[in-house]
Amino acid sequence: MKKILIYFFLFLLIAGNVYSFVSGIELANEIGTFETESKRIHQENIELEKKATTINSLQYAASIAASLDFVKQAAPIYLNNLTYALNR
Amino acid sequence: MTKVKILLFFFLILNLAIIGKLFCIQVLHSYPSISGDYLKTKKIYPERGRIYDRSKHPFVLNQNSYLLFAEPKKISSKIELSSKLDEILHMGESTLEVRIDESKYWVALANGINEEEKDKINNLKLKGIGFEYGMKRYYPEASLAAHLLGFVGKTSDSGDIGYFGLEGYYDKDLKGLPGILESERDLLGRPIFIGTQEIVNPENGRDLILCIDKSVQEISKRKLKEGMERYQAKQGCVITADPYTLQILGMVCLPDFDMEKYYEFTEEYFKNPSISDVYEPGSIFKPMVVAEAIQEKKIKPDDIYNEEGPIQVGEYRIMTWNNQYEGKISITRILEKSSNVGMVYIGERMGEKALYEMMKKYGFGEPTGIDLQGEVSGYIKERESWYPIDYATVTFGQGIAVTPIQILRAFSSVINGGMILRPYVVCSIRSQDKQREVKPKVERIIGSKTTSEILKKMLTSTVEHGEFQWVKPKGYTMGGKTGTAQIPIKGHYDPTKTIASFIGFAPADKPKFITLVILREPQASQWASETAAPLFFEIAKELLVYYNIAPE
Repeated sequence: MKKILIYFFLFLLIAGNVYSFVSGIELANEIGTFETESKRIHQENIELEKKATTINSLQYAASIAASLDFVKQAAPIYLNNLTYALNR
Repeated sequence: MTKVKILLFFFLILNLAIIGKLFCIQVLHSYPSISGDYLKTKKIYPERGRIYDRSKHPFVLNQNSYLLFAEPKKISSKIELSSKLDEILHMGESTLEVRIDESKYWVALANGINEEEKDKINNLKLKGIGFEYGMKRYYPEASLAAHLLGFVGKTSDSGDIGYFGLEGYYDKDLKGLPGILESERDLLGRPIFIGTQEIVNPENGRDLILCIDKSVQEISKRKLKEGMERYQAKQGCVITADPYTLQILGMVCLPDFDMEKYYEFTEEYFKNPSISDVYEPGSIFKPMVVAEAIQEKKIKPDDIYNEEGPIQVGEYRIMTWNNQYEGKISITRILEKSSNVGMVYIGERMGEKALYEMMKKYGFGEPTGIDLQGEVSGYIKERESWYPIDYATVTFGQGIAVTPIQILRAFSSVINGGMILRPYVVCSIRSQDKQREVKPKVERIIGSKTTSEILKKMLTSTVEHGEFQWVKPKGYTMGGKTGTAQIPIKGHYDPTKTIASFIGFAPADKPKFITLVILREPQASQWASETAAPLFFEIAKELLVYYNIAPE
């Protein structure tokens, strides 16, 4: 009976150790994954921020204006002082 | 018993194998990277602070950047590798080949690789190369505010350091504090829980929110560029500020530089002429002298001066700019026609001591304390070495060396009720948990509101009834003064080379902005009234529309 108990506790000890070892590896894997993911998301955020600000910049507006030929010569003419009525 | 011996023998062999393997790893092939993989102690670099304009539009951000490295021992053909990399990096095959030193385990090949280049290199699936992550500055508005912002360079140990402008002045705030990671890892890089696991998070750099308005900056730069081309000037600056707080709303000087490729420019391009260059102000200095004389009750605006002709001071003869004289004129008219002889008269009324002290009161000869790196103090001679001619010429802005920002500050005090303020560019500093607002700082009060009102009227009259009639925005009253200063070369003035400037404010009754325009050596005309002044009115017109100021 005593021998069975010893074997039983030994088994529990080994099983507990194996469990904690495997759990440790799993947790380490998870931490590794989270570390990589958070780094990736941070980099992605920076990249997206860069794209968003580029589109919002005056430089981009100027380049788009130039590509659409919206220059001084091609600027719209506003009718400030109408000589004749246009409401036909 | 035999079974036990076999088991012992088995364990002995197993132990020997482990010892042998450890000997191989730790002694025979003790790569630094392997020992480093066990206990990782690494510095965690903080993110450098960002810079925004007053409406929180970004001027400077960070972007992903990579260091491309090679492990030459793992490379089979460095010629082939160099050739493939050069197709993407365009660094030169021979340069890359030289960098891949086969006697080393690790060599850096190229820094500042962007995301797109990294993806292209990864697609090549080359062996023996890798990337190390880092960050570099990104400028969404390119060099819209190059002199103002400065740039980030590298220290000898590859750290970031700010040079010039805001990057230089606020380097300690922007760079933040690094953190540290101490972590025991297995060979696959996973943390070992029973080992050391310590992390001190970095403190990211503080963000700067500027008083600069991106639109004002853009208007100033665009107009300055056009003006410099039109008048063929060598250099030009436009500074716009709020005269009551001296918040700098726009500061542009040309030629400037590309902050991302700063290494392609020489140091002379990095200096911000608004704060680092000195010049003789010329007639733009006259309103300060008049304001002081009125403040000290030495003259009144309607006092009459008899402008008969040139004045002789010692061996020197002082004339008006066009050598024309109007006889009896008022003090206001002296400013309107920018009469040098009239100014000498005002100077005489003030006295030598008061004239010298006036310059000190306005802060000439000392830095303004603006929060930008590289400010110089200008130059005023010691009083002992002043001759009578110096006291005469200084009344119309010759014989002293000032910076544009000093002129802007002094002129602001003339129209803001006599407050000498500290000019500033950063309106607030934001850290992870708090934001600190920067308040205007009145250094001293040297004049009264009454004097300011008088001077505003006189300067408005100068614009309205000056010698030159400019195309001004209709329906608005503005004040201002031109200045054409000759450039001293080897003790003499070169009459063909001038610095043309105009300082003006609008609307005249309660100015929303004050703008200083300076053009160095304009070729189209040497006179400020034909170069800097029209440029000022073009800028002012756009600013009035931008600020939505209705005509009177």
